[in-house]
Amino acid sequence: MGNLTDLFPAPASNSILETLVGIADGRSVTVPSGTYTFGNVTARQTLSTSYADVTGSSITYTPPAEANYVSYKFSYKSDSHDINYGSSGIHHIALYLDGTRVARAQKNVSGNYSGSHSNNHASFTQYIEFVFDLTAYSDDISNGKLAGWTTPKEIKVMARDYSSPYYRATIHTNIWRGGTGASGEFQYLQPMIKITAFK
Amino acid sequence: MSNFTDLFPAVSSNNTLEIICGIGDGRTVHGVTNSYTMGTASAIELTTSYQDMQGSSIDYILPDGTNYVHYEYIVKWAATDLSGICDWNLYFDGYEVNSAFVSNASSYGASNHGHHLVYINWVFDLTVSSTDYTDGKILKSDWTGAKNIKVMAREYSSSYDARAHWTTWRDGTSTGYPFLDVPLLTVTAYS
Repeated sequence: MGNLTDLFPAPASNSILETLVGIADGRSVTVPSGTYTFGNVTARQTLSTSYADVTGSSITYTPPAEANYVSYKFSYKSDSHDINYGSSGIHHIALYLDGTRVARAQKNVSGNYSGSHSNNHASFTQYIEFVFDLTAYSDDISNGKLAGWTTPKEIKVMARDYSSPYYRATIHTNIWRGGTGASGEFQYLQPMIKITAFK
Repeated sequence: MSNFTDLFPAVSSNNTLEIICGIGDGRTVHGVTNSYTMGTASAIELTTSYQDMQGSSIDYILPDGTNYVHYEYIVKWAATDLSGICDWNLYFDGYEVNSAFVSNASSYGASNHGHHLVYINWVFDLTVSSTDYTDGKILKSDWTGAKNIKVMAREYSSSYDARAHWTTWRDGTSTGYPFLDVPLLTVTAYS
């Protein structure tokens, strides 16, 4: 005989269907909708004036069938490039769903320009977060609206510098540690992805 | 008469087992099976020696069935001198989680106006076959009972002084500063 609560399950106590969260260290994580493998970030990433995939940001996700909303959060480290021209490290962050840019999620990130392009110390934790609305009548990816989401779709972040040679940026970067320069594994911070599916 | 589902609760319908969330004001937060008291934060000056960050420490007991623990600490940082370069180290049971290390600073400049939040987080993976503290991978048998998770911080040097939980300006003035900017601690257990 089965459990009574299997035969007469209580209503869900909240609107969260599942949360997929992990560090980009190559791990695989299993949640109710499947098993997902995260990227493996093992180095800093130097940006250029062309958009490039931000390492560790990509994940191909299929929400649970009842999902009406999907939240994607990518937490990373942002840094002015530690070269003479790093300056404020202005860079642009773009979110993509299945190859289409989500314009509504676009961000610009920078430190403060403080009088010299060699004042390139700006280094801080940063994130991009967006909620996809799956209850739309038709797909409008640019605004993050979809008429359902039933097949695997890649979510990723792309980034570029504002210009070159000035205002350049790096991603995942730690410059200092313990009163001196960071070395070895301390030179980079592996980013975090958190996806939450809501009904 | 009690509700039927109070007497026979359904298995959790998602993979979130427990969320412990609170600010650093000494409050006690009740989880599914245990209670936790948050630290009490005050606006402080950092030094060149590592010190425990108020409001970051928790002696956490896993709910049954936990496979992942997401630790998140959001702390206000402020530059006192120049760029206010700081280290933020995460510790599990006294061992540093090297992979979670964060260094932060504002742009270099004499005005030292840099004030922003720092987000220290790590997802501890308990599905591994052996413990690797430096990467935050913990064998379940090595996480029995309460295990302490905390953040320690220091400034780079006395030329780059920094502060924590500190706000200098409020409502258009600095009169009466420092103002307290309390940290936020969240620990989430997932199956």
